[in-house]
Amino acid sequence: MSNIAGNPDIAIAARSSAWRALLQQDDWWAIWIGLGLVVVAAALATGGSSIAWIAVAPQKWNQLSELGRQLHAHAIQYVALFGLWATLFGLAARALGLNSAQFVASFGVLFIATLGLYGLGQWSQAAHYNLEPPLVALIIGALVSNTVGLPAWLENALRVELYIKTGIVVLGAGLPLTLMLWAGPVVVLQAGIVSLVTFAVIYLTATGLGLDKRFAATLGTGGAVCGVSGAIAVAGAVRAKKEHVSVAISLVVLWAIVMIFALPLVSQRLGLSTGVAGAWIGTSEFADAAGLAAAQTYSSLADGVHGISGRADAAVNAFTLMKVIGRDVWIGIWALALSIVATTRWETTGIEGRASVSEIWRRFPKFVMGFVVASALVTAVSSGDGYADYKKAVLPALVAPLQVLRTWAFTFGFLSIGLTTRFREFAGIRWRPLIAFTVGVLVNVLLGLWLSTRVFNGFWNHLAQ
Amino acid sequence: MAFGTIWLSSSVGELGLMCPCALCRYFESGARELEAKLPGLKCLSSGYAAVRADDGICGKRDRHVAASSTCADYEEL
Repeated sequence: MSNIAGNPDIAIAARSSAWRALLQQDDWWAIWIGLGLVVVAAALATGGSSIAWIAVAPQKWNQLSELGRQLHAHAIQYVALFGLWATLFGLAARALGLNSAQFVASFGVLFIATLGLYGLGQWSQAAHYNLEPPLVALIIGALVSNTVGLPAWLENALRVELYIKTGIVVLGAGLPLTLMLWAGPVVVLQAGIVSLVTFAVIYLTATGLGLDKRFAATLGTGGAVCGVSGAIAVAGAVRAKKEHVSVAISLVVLWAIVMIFALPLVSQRLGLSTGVAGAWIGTSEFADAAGLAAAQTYSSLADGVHGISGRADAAVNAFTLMKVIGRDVWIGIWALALSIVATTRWETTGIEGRASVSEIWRRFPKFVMGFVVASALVTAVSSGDGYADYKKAVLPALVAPLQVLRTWAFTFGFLSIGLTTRFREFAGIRWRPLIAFTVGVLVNVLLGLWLSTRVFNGFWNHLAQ
Repeated sequence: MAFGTIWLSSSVGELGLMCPCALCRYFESGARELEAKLPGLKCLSSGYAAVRADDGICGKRDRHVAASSTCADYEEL
Protein backbone atom coordinates (compact mmCIF):
# COMPACT_ATOMS: atom_id res chain seq x y z
CA MET A 1 0.00 0.00 0.00
CA SER A 2 1.09 3.54 -0.63
CA ASN A 3 0.85 6.36 1.88
CA ILE A 4 -1.71 9.17 1.96
CA ALA A 5 0.69 11.87 0.76
CA GLY A 6 -0.54 13.62 -2.37
CA ASN A 7 -4.15 12.58 -1.95
CA PRO A 8 -6.39 15.62 -2.64
CA ASP A 9 -9.09 14.58 -0.16
CA ILE A 10 -6.56 14.40 2.64
CA ALA A 11 -5.10 17.74 1.55
CA ILE A 12 -8.57 19.34 1.75
CA ALA A 13 -9.13 17.84 5.19
CA ALA A 14 -5.75 19.14 6.34
CA ARG A 15 -6.51 22.66 5.09
CA SER A 16 -9.87 22.65 6.85
CA SER A 17 -8.09 21.55 10.03
CA ALA A 18 -5.61 24.43 9.67
CA TRP A 19 -8.48 26.95 9.53
CA ARG A 20 -10.20 25.33 12.50
CA ALA A 21 -6.98 25.71 14.48
CA LEU A 22 -7.43 29.50 14.36
CA LEU A 23 -10.39 29.08 16.72
CA GLN A 24 -9.56 25.83 18.48
CA GLN A 25 -6.02 26.36 19.76
CA ASP A 26 -5.28 28.51 22.79
CA ASP A 27 -2.19 29.92 21.02
CA TRP A 28 -4.43 31.63 18.48
CA TRP A 29 -6.85 32.87 21.13
CA ALA A 30 -3.92 34.37 23.02
CA ILE A 31 -3.09 36.26 19.82
CA TRP A 32 -6.68 37.44 19.20
CA ILE A 33 -7.11 38.59 22.80
CA GLY A 34 -3.60 39.86 23.56
CA LEU A 35 -2.99 41.54 20.25
CA GLY A 36 -6.55 42.91 20.22
CA LEU A 37 -5.89 44.63 23.55
CA VAL A 38 -2.58 46.03 22.29
CA VAL A 39 -4.14 47.32 19.04
CA VAL A 40 -7.01 49.04 20.88
CA ALA A 41 -4.60 50.50 23.46
CA ALA A 42 -2.26 51.78 20.72
CA ALA A 43 -5.15 53.26 18.71
CA LEU A 44 -6.48 55.12 21.76
CA ALA A 45 -3.01 56.30 22.78
CA THR A 46 -2.36 57.59 19.26
CA GLY A 47 -5.63 59.55 19.45
CA GLY A 48 -4.64 61.11 22.77
CA SER A 49 -6.75 58.76 24.92
CA SER A 50 -5.89 55.59 26.89
CA ILE A 51 -7.19 52.26 28.23
CA ALA A 52 -5.88 53.28 31.67
CA TRP A 53 -9.42 53.62 33.11
CA ILE A 54 -10.19 49.92 32.67
CA ALA A 55 -6.64 48.72 33.46
CA VAL A 56 -7.29 49.11 37.17
CA ALA A 57 -5.32 47.42 39.96
CA PRO A 58 -4.77 47.83 43.70
CA GLN A 59 -2.10 50.38 44.67
CA LYS A 60 0.35 50.30 47.62
CA TRP A 61 -1.39 50.27 51.03
CA ASN A 62 -0.46 50.10 54.71
CA GLN A 63 -3.75 49.48 56.50
CA LEU A 64 -6.45 47.11 55.29
CA SER A 65 -8.94 49.98 55.45
CA GLU A 66 -6.90 51.80 52.78
CA LEU A 67 -7.26 48.84 50.44
CA GLY A 68 -10.98 48.76 51.18
CA ARG A 69 -11.30 52.44 50.30
CA GLN A 70 -9.38 51.89 47.05
CA LEU A 71 -11.64 49.01 45.99
CA HIS A 72 -14.75 50.99 46.86
CA ALA A 73 -13.58 54.05 44.93
CA HIS A 74 -12.79 52.01 41.81
CA ALA A 75 -15.60 49.45 42.09
CA ILE A 76 -17.12 50.31 38.69
CA GLN A 77 -13.73 49.97 37.00
CA TYR A 78 -13.21 46.53 38.57
CA VAL A 79 -16.66 45.42 37.38
CA ALA A 80 -15.82 46.69 33.88
CA LEU A 81 -12.46 44.92 33.95
CA PHE A 82 -14.16 41.68 34.99
CA GLY A 83 -16.64 42.16 32.15
CA LEU A 84 -13.80 42.65 29.67
CA TRP A 85 -11.83 39.58 30.74
CA ALA A 86 -14.94 37.41 31.11
CA THR A 87 -16.11 38.36 27.61
CA LEU A 88 -12.75 37.80 25.94
CA PHE A 89 -11.84 34.56 27.73
CA GLY A 90 -15.49 33.45 27.62
CA LEU A 91 -15.45 33.72 23.82
CA ALA A 92 -12.27 31.68 23.75
CA ALA A 93 -13.76 29.08 26.10
CA ARG A 94 -16.85 28.77 23.91
CA ALA A 95 -14.74 28.28 20.78
CA LEU A 96 -12.60 25.71 22.57
CA GLY A 97 -15.75 23.74 23.34
CA LEU A 98 -16.02 24.54 27.05
CA ASN A 99 -19.34 25.32 28.71
CA SER A 100 -19.32 29.13 28.48
CA ALA A 101 -21.89 29.72 31.26
CA GLN A 102 -19.90 27.56 33.66
CA PHE A 103 -16.72 29.22 32.46
CA VAL A 104 -17.95 32.73 33.28
CA ALA A 105 -19.21 31.61 36.71
CA SER A 106 -15.91 29.93 37.59
CA PHE A 107 -13.93 32.80 36.09
CA GLY A 108 -15.77 35.11 38.50
CA VAL A 109 -14.33 33.13 41.42
CA LEU A 110 -10.87 33.20 39.82
CA PHE A 111 -11.11 36.96 39.26
CA ILE A 112 -12.05 37.66 42.90
CA ALA A 113 -9.22 35.42 44.17
CA THR A 114 -6.79 37.14 41.79
CA LEU A 115 -7.94 40.56 43.01
CA GLY A 116 -7.19 39.42 46.57
CA LEU A 117 -3.70 38.24 45.57
CA TYR A 118 -3.02 41.43 43.61
CA GLY A 119 -4.05 43.44 46.67
CA LEU A 120 -1.88 41.32 48.96
CA GLY A 121 1.13 41.96 46.72
CA GLN A 122 0.62 45.72 47.16
CA TRP A 123 0.75 45.54 50.98
CA SER A 124 3.72 47.57 52.20
CA GLN A 125 4.84 44.62 54.38
CA ALA A 126 4.36 41.92 51.70
CA ALA A 127 8.07 41.71 50.81
CA HIS A 128 9.02 41.61 54.50
CA TYR A 129 6.88 38.47 54.97
CA ASN A 130 7.86 37.01 51.56
CA LEU A 131 4.25 37.22 50.39
CA GLU A 132 5.06 37.33 46.71
CA PRO A 133 1.76 36.99 44.76
CA PRO A 134 2.92 34.18 42.41
CA LEU A 135 4.16 32.05 45.31
CA VAL A 136 1.09 32.76 47.46
CA ALA A 137 -1.15 31.93 44.47
CA LEU A 138 0.64 28.65 43.96
CA ILE A 139 0.59 27.64 47.63
CA ILE A 140 -3.04 28.57 48.24
CA GLY A 141 -4.14 26.96 44.97
CA ALA A 142 -2.25 23.72 45.66
CA LEU A 143 -3.53 23.59 49.25
CA VAL A 144 -7.14 24.00 48.15
CA SER A 145 -6.97 21.51 45.28
CA ASN A 146 -5.12 18.85 47.32
CA THR A 147 -7.21 19.11 50.50
CA VAL A 148 -10.82 20.20 50.11
CA GLY A 149 -10.71 19.84 46.31
CA LEU A 150 -12.64 21.79 43.70
CA PRO A 151 -16.13 21.29 42.32
CA ALA A 152 -16.02 20.25 38.65
CA TRP A 153 -17.69 23.47 37.42
CA LEU A 154 -14.92 25.57 38.97
CA GLU A 155 -12.27 23.79 36.91
CA ASN A 156 -13.67 25.32 33.70
CA ALA A 157 -11.78 28.57 34.20
CA LEU A 158 -8.43 26.97 35.08
CA ARG A 159 -6.80 27.48 31.67
CA VAL A 160 -3.17 28.15 32.65
CA GLU A 161 -1.84 28.28 29.11
CA LEU A 162 -4.53 30.59 27.75
CA TYR A 163 -3.84 33.19 30.46
CA ILE A 164 -0.05 32.88 30.35
CA LYS A 165 0.16 33.04 26.55
CA THR A 166 -2.20 36.04 26.49
CA GLY A 167 0.00 37.74 29.10
CA ILE A 168 3.13 37.03 27.04
CA VAL A 169 1.56 38.54 23.90
CA VAL A 170 0.67 41.68 25.89
CA LEU A 171 4.16 41.68 27.41
CA GLY A 172 5.54 42.04 23.88
CA ALA A 173 4.17 45.60 23.88
CA GLY A 174 6.65 46.51 26.63
CA LEU A 175 9.70 45.12 24.84
CA PRO A 176 11.03 47.21 21.95
CA LEU A 177 11.63 45.22 18.78
CA THR A 178 15.14 46.64 18.66
CA LEU A 179 15.83 45.06 22.07
CA MET A 180 14.66 41.68 20.78
CA LEU A 181 16.94 41.95 17.75
CA TRP A 182 19.85 43.11 19.92
CA ALA A 183 19.35 40.31 22.45
CA GLY A 184 18.53 37.63 19.88
CA PRO A 185 22.03 36.21 19.21
CA VAL A 186 22.97 35.95 22.91
CA VAL A 187 19.59 34.47 23.78
CA VAL A 188 19.77 31.83 21.05
CA LEU A 189 23.41 30.98 21.87
CA GLN A 190 22.88 30.62 25.63
CA ALA A 191 19.58 28.76 25.31
CA GLY A 192 20.98 26.56 22.53
CA ILE A 193 23.98 25.47 24.60
CA VAL A 194 21.86 24.62 27.63
CA SER A 195 19.13 22.89 25.61
CA LEU A 196 21.54 20.64 23.71
CA VAL A 197 23.57 19.71 26.81
CA THR A 198 20.48 19.10 28.96
CA PHE A 199 18.84 16.95 26.29
CA ALA A 200 22.02 14.92 25.82
CA VAL A 201 22.45 14.38 29.57
CA ILE A 202 18.85 13.26 30.14
CA TYR A 203 18.75 11.10 27.01
CA LEU A 204 22.07 9.37 27.67
CA THR A 205 21.34 8.84 31.37
CA ALA A 206 17.88 7.48 30.60
CA THR A 207 19.05 5.07 27.89
CA GLY A 208 22.03 4.14 30.09
CA LEU A 209 19.53 3.15 32.78
CA GLY A 210 17.78 0.94 30.23
CA LEU A 211 14.79 3.18 29.43
CA ASP A 212 13.15 3.10 26.01
CA LYS A 213 14.68 5.57 23.50
CA ARG A 214 11.33 7.20 22.77
CA PHE A 215 10.74 7.69 26.48
CA ALA A 216 14.27 9.10 26.86
CA ALA A 217 13.66 11.58 24.01
CA THR A 218 10.34 12.67 25.54
CA LEU A 219 11.98 13.21 28.93
CA GLY A 220 14.94 15.00 27.36
CA THR A 221 12.81 17.46 25.42
CA GLY A 222 10.63 18.10 28.45
CA GLY A 223 13.73 19.09 30.41
CA ALA A 224 15.60 20.88 27.65
CA VAL A 225 13.12 22.75 25.49
CA CYS A 226 9.69 23.71 26.74
CA GLY A 227 8.54 21.47 29.54
CA VAL A 228 5.20 19.71 29.26
CA SER A 229 4.55 21.22 25.82
CA GLY A 230 7.95 19.96 24.60
CA ALA A 231 7.27 16.51 26.01
CA ILE A 232 3.88 16.10 24.31
CA ALA A 233 5.14 17.53 21.02
CA VAL A 234 8.06 15.10 20.81
CA ALA A 235 6.01 12.20 22.20
CA GLY A 236 3.69 12.56 19.19
CA ALA A 237 6.58 12.91 16.77
CA VAL A 238 8.36 9.74 17.99
CA ARG A 239 5.15 7.83 18.94
CA ALA A 240 5.98 7.35 22.61
CA LYS A 241 3.93 5.16 24.93
CA LYS A 242 1.08 6.94 26.70
CA GLU A 243 2.30 5.92 30.17
CA HIS A 244 5.74 7.35 29.33
CA VAL A 245 4.16 10.67 28.35
CA SER A 246 2.32 10.72 31.68
CA VAL A 247 5.53 10.12 33.63
CA ALA A 248 7.38 12.80 31.64
CA ILE A 249 4.59 15.32 32.33
CA SER A 250 4.59 14.50 36.06
CA LEU A 251 8.39 14.91 36.26
CA VAL A 252 8.31 18.26 34.48
CA VAL A 253 5.50 19.54 36.72
CA LEU A 254 7.27 18.30 39.87
CA TRP A 255 10.60 19.96 39.06
CA ALA A 256 9.00 23.09 37.59
CA ILE A 257 7.16 23.70 40.85
CA VAL A 258 10.30 23.10 42.91
CA MET A 259 12.14 25.61 40.72
CA ILE A 260 9.44 28.28 41.09
CA PHE A 261 10.51 28.49 44.74
CA ALA A 262 14.19 27.58 44.43
CA LEU A 263 15.40 29.83 41.59
CA PRO A 264 14.23 33.21 43.00
CA LEU A 265 15.45 32.23 46.49
CA VAL A 266 18.94 31.21 45.29
CA SER A 267 19.10 34.25 42.99
CA GLN A 268 18.38 36.48 45.99
CA ARG A 269 21.02 34.72 48.12
CA LEU A 270 23.58 35.13 45.33
CA GLY A 271 22.61 38.80 44.92
CA LEU A 272 21.95 38.41 41.20
CA SER A 273 20.71 41.42 39.28
CA THR A 274 17.20 41.18 37.87
CA GLY A 275 18.53 40.73 34.32
CA VAL A 276 20.90 37.90 35.27
CA ALA A 277 18.29 36.15 37.42
CA GLY A 278 15.69 36.41 34.64
CA ALA A 279 18.13 34.92 32.13
CA TRP A 280 18.98 32.07 34.52
CA ILE A 281 15.30 31.34 35.19
CA GLY A 282 14.64 31.46 31.44
CA THR A 283 17.43 28.96 30.84
CA SER A 284 16.65 26.61 33.70
CA GLU A 285 12.88 26.62 34.30
CA PHE A 286 10.91 24.04 32.36
CA ALA A 287 7.60 25.65 31.51
CA ASP A 288 6.56 29.17 30.51
CA ALA A 289 3.95 29.46 33.26
CA ALA A 290 6.26 28.19 36.00
CA GLY A 291 9.16 30.34 34.79
CA LEU A 292 7.01 33.46 34.70
CA ALA A 293 5.90 32.73 38.27
CA ALA A 294 9.58 32.53 39.31
CA ALA A 295 10.60 35.62 37.30
CA GLN A 296 7.63 37.66 38.51
CA THR A 297 8.53 36.65 42.08
CA TYR A 298 12.06 37.97 41.57
CA SER A 299 10.67 41.18 40.05
CA SER A 300 8.51 41.62 43.17
CA LEU A 301 11.53 40.94 45.41
CA ALA A 302 13.57 43.54 43.55
CA ASP A 303 10.76 46.02 44.10
CA GLY A 304 10.65 45.53 47.85
CA VAL A 305 14.05 44.21 48.98
CA HIS A 306 17.30 46.16 48.99
CA GLY A 307 20.42 44.65 47.47
CA ILE A 308 18.95 43.47 44.15
CA SER A 309 20.20 45.63 41.30
CA GLY A 310 18.42 46.31 38.04
CA ARG A 311 14.93 47.38 37.06
CA ALA A 312 12.24 45.18 38.61
CA ASP A 313 10.63 44.22 35.29
CA ALA A 314 13.98 43.16 33.80
CA ALA A 315 13.63 39.72 35.42
CA VAL A 316 10.37 39.04 33.53
CA ASN A 317 11.73 40.59 30.31
CA ALA A 318 14.99 38.59 30.37
CA PHE A 319 13.09 35.42 31.26
CA THR A 320 10.63 35.88 28.39
CA LEU A 321 13.35 36.57 25.83
CA MET A 322 15.33 33.52 26.94
CA LYS A 323 12.42 31.11 27.26
CA VAL A 324 10.20 32.17 24.37
CA ILE A 325 12.78 33.23 21.76
CA GLY A 326 15.64 31.03 22.97
CA ARG A 327 13.79 27.79 23.63
CA ASP A 328 10.08 27.60 22.77
CA VAL A 329 10.30 28.53 19.08
CA TRP A 330 12.65 25.64 18.32
CA ILE A 331 10.25 22.86 19.38
CA GLY A 332 9.20 22.11 15.79
CA ILE A 333 12.82 21.56 14.77
CA TRP A 334 13.41 19.27 17.77
CA ALA A 335 10.26 17.31 16.88
CA LEU A 336 11.28 17.01 13.22
CA ALA A 337 14.84 15.91 14.04
CA LEU A 338 13.70 13.32 16.57
CA SER A 339 10.95 12.13 14.24
CA ILE A 340 13.58 11.46 11.54
CA VAL A 341 15.81 9.61 14.03
CA ALA A 342 12.86 7.59 15.35
CA THR A 343 11.76 6.63 11.84
CA THR A 344 15.19 5.76 10.47
CA ARG A 345 17.25 4.58 13.45
CA TRP A 346 15.08 3.18 16.21
CA GLU A 347 13.26 -0.15 16.36
CA THR A 348 9.79 -0.02 14.81
CA THR A 349 6.62 0.29 16.88
CA GLY A 350 4.38 -1.00 14.13
CA ILE A 351 3.04 2.52 13.63
CA GLU A 352 4.33 4.12 10.47
CA GLY A 353 4.76 7.81 9.85
CA ARG A 354 6.72 10.10 7.60
CA ALA A 355 8.88 12.91 8.94
CA SER A 356 7.97 16.13 7.17
CA VAL A 357 9.36 19.66 7.24
CA SER A 358 5.79 20.85 7.77
CA GLU A 359 6.23 19.54 11.33
CA ILE A 360 8.15 22.73 12.13
CA TRP A 361 5.16 24.95 11.41
CA ARG A 362 2.52 22.55 12.71
CA ARG A 363 4.17 22.51 16.14
CA PHE A 364 5.30 26.12 16.17
CA PRO A 365 4.01 27.88 19.31
CA LYS A 366 1.93 30.41 17.38
CA PHE A 367 1.45 32.81 20.29
CA VAL A 368 5.09 33.87 19.81
CA MET A 369 4.00 35.64 16.61
CA GLY A 370 1.58 37.74 18.67
CA PHE A 371 4.40 38.58 21.10
CA VAL A 372 6.63 39.82 18.25
CA VAL A 373 3.84 41.71 16.45
CA ALA A 374 2.83 43.45 19.72
CA SER A 375 6.44 44.53 20.17
CA ALA A 376 6.68 45.77 16.57
CA LEU A 377 3.40 47.67 16.87
CA VAL A 378 4.33 49.60 20.01
CA THR A 379 7.85 50.18 18.67
CA ALA A 380 6.31 51.71 15.53
CA VAL A 381 3.84 53.84 17.53
CA SER A 382 6.62 55.25 19.71
CA SER A 383 9.32 55.43 17.03
CA GLY A 384 9.18 59.22 16.64
CA ASP A 385 9.43 59.90 20.37
CA GLY A 386 12.58 60.60 22.34
CA TYR A 387 13.05 59.03 25.77
CA ALA A 388 11.52 62.04 27.55
CA ASP A 389 8.42 61.90 25.33
CA TYR A 390 8.21 58.15 25.81
CA LYS A 391 8.24 58.54 29.61
CA LYS A 392 5.77 61.41 29.52
CA ALA A 393 3.26 60.14 26.95
CA VAL A 394 3.73 56.56 25.71
CA LEU A 395 4.52 54.94 29.06
CA PRO A 396 1.51 56.17 31.09
CA ALA A 397 -1.01 56.08 28.23
CA LEU A 398 -0.01 52.84 26.53
CA VAL A 399 2.70 50.68 28.10
CA ALA A 400 1.80 50.99 31.82
CA PRO A 401 -1.90 50.07 31.40
CA LEU A 402 -0.89 47.08 29.27
CA GLN A 403 1.55 46.04 32.01
CA VAL A 404 -1.35 46.05 34.48
CA LEU A 405 -3.48 43.90 32.17
CA ARG A 406 -0.57 41.51 31.64
CA THR A 407 -0.13 41.15 35.43
CA TRP A 408 -3.81 40.26 35.74
CA ALA A 409 -3.47 37.62 33.01
CA PHE A 410 -0.33 36.14 34.60
CA THR A 411 -1.92 36.03 38.04
CA PHE A 412 -4.98 34.17 36.63
CA GLY A 413 -2.41 31.70 35.32
CA PHE A 414 -0.39 31.40 38.56
CA LEU A 415 -3.52 30.70 40.59
CA SER A 416 -4.63 28.15 38.00
CA ILE A 417 -1.27 26.32 38.27
CA GLY A 418 -1.81 25.79 41.99
CA LEU A 419 -5.43 24.80 41.53
CA THR A 420 -4.58 22.20 38.85
CA THR A 421 -1.56 20.68 40.64
CA ARG A 422 -2.40 17.25 42.06
CA PHE A 423 0.35 15.84 44.27
CA ARG A 424 -1.06 12.32 43.98
CA GLU A 425 -0.09 12.32 40.29
CA PHE A 426 3.58 12.36 41.32
CA ALA A 427 3.09 8.90 42.85
CA GLY A 428 3.28 7.36 39.36
CA ILE A 429 6.88 8.52 38.89
CA ARG A 430 9.39 5.65 38.95
CA TRP A 431 13.02 5.72 40.03
CA ARG A 432 14.88 5.41 36.74
CA PRO A 433 13.11 8.27 34.94
CA LEU A 434 13.33 10.31 38.13
CA ILE A 435 17.11 9.80 38.28
CA ALA A 436 17.61 10.56 34.56
CA PHE A 437 15.52 13.73 34.70
CA THR A 438 17.05 14.90 37.98
CA VAL A 439 20.59 14.55 36.64
CA GLY A 440 19.52 16.68 33.69
CA VAL A 441 17.96 19.25 36.02
CA LEU A 442 21.19 19.58 38.02
CA VAL A 443 23.32 20.02 34.90
CA ASN A 444 20.80 22.45 33.43
CA VAL A 445 20.65 24.60 36.57
CA LEU A 446 24.43 24.77 37.08
CA LEU A 447 25.21 25.35 33.41
CA GLY A 448 22.49 28.00 33.17
CA LEU A 449 23.84 29.73 36.29
CA TRP A 450 27.40 29.69 34.94
CA LEU A 451 26.40 31.09 31.55
CA SER A 452 24.16 33.77 33.10
CA THR A 453 26.59 34.91 35.81
CA ARG A 454 30.00 34.32 34.20
CA VAL A 455 29.81 34.16 30.42
CA PHE A 456 26.97 36.50 29.44
CA ASN A 457 26.62 38.41 32.75
CA GLY A 458 27.71 41.72 31.20
CA PHE A 459 24.95 41.48 28.64
CA TRP A 460 22.22 40.60 31.16
CA ASN A 461 23.35 43.24 33.66
CA HIS A 462 23.27 45.82 30.88
CA LEU A 463 19.75 44.72 29.91
CA ALA A 464 18.65 45.17 33.54
CA GLN A 465 19.69 48.82 33.52
CA MET B 1 -19.08 15.59 9.86
CA ALA B 2 -19.62 11.83 10.11
CA PHE B 3 -20.63 11.66 6.44
CA GLY B 4 -17.49 13.57 5.47
CA THR B 5 -15.32 11.25 7.47
CA ILE B 6 -16.90 8.14 5.95
CA TRP B 7 -16.61 9.60 2.44
CA LEU B 8 -12.97 10.53 3.01
CA SER B 9 -12.24 7.12 4.49
CA SER B 10 -13.92 5.36 1.56
CA SER B 11 -12.06 7.36 -1.05
CA VAL B 12 -8.76 6.63 0.69
CA GLY B 13 -9.62 2.94 0.78
CA GLU B 14 -10.73 2.88 -2.88
CA LEU B 15 -7.41 4.35 -3.92
CA GLY B 16 -5.59 1.55 -2.11
CA LEU B 17 -4.03 3.97 0.35
CA MET B 18 -3.26 3.25 3.96
CA CYS B 19 -5.80 4.98 6.20
CA PRO B 20 -4.42 7.49 8.69
CA CYS B 21 -4.89 7.26 12.44
CA ALA B 22 -7.11 10.37 12.23
CA LEU B 23 -9.85 8.18 10.72
CA CYS B 24 -9.36 5.21 13.03
CA ARG B 25 -11.81 4.25 15.78
CA TYR B 26 -8.95 3.77 18.26
CA PHE B 27 -7.61 7.31 17.78
CA GLU B 28 -8.57 9.90 20.40
CA SER B 29 -7.43 13.47 19.82
CA GLY B 30 -10.04 15.65 21.53
CA ALA B 31 -8.32 18.24 23.73
CA ARG B 32 -10.54 17.64 26.75
CA GLU B 33 -10.29 13.87 26.43
CA LEU B 34 -6.51 14.14 26.16
CA GLU B 35 -6.31 16.33 29.24
CA ALA B 36 -8.36 13.71 31.11
CA LYS B 37 -6.10 10.88 29.93
CA LEU B 38 -2.83 12.70 30.62
CA PRO B 39 -3.06 14.08 34.16
CA GLY B 40 -0.87 17.13 34.62
CA LEU B 41 -1.15 18.21 30.98
CA LYS B 42 -3.56 20.99 31.97
CA CYS B 43 -1.32 22.17 34.82
CA LEU B 44 1.60 23.56 32.80
CA SER B 45 0.44 23.09 29.24
CA SER B 46 -2.81 22.40 27.46
CA GLY B 47 -4.63 19.95 25.26
CA TYR B 48 -5.42 22.98 23.07
CA ALA B 49 -1.76 23.98 22.58
CA ALA B 50 -0.47 24.45 19.03
CA VAL B 51 2.63 22.34 19.78
CA ARG B 52 0.39 19.27 20.09
CA ALA B 53 -0.69 19.76 16.47
CA ASP B 54 -3.23 17.02 15.66
CA ASP B 55 -1.66 14.25 17.75
CA GLY B 56 -3.78 11.90 19.76
CA ILE B 57 -3.69 8.67 21.72
CA CYS B 58 -4.05 5.28 20.05
CA GLY B 59 -6.29 3.21 22.34
CA LYS B 60 -5.22 -0.01 20.65
CA ARG B 61 -1.46 0.40 21.00
CA ASP B 62 -1.53 2.86 23.90
CA ARG B 63 0.81 5.30 22.21
CA HIS B 64 0.83 9.04 21.55
CA VAL B 65 0.74 9.32 17.76
CA ALA B 66 0.40 11.89 14.98
CA ALA B 67 -2.94 11.91 13.16
CA SER B 68 -1.19 11.15 9.87
CA SER B 69 0.42 7.95 11.18
CA THR B 70 -0.71 4.59 9.86
CA CYS B 71 -0.68 1.01 11.14
CA ALA B 72 -2.00 -2.45 10.40
CA ASP B 73 -4.57 -2.32 13.23
CA TYR B 74 -6.61 0.42 11.56
CA GLU B 75 -10.35 0.08 12.03
CA GLU B 76 -12.85 2.41 10.47
CA LEU B 77 -14.80 4.76 12.72
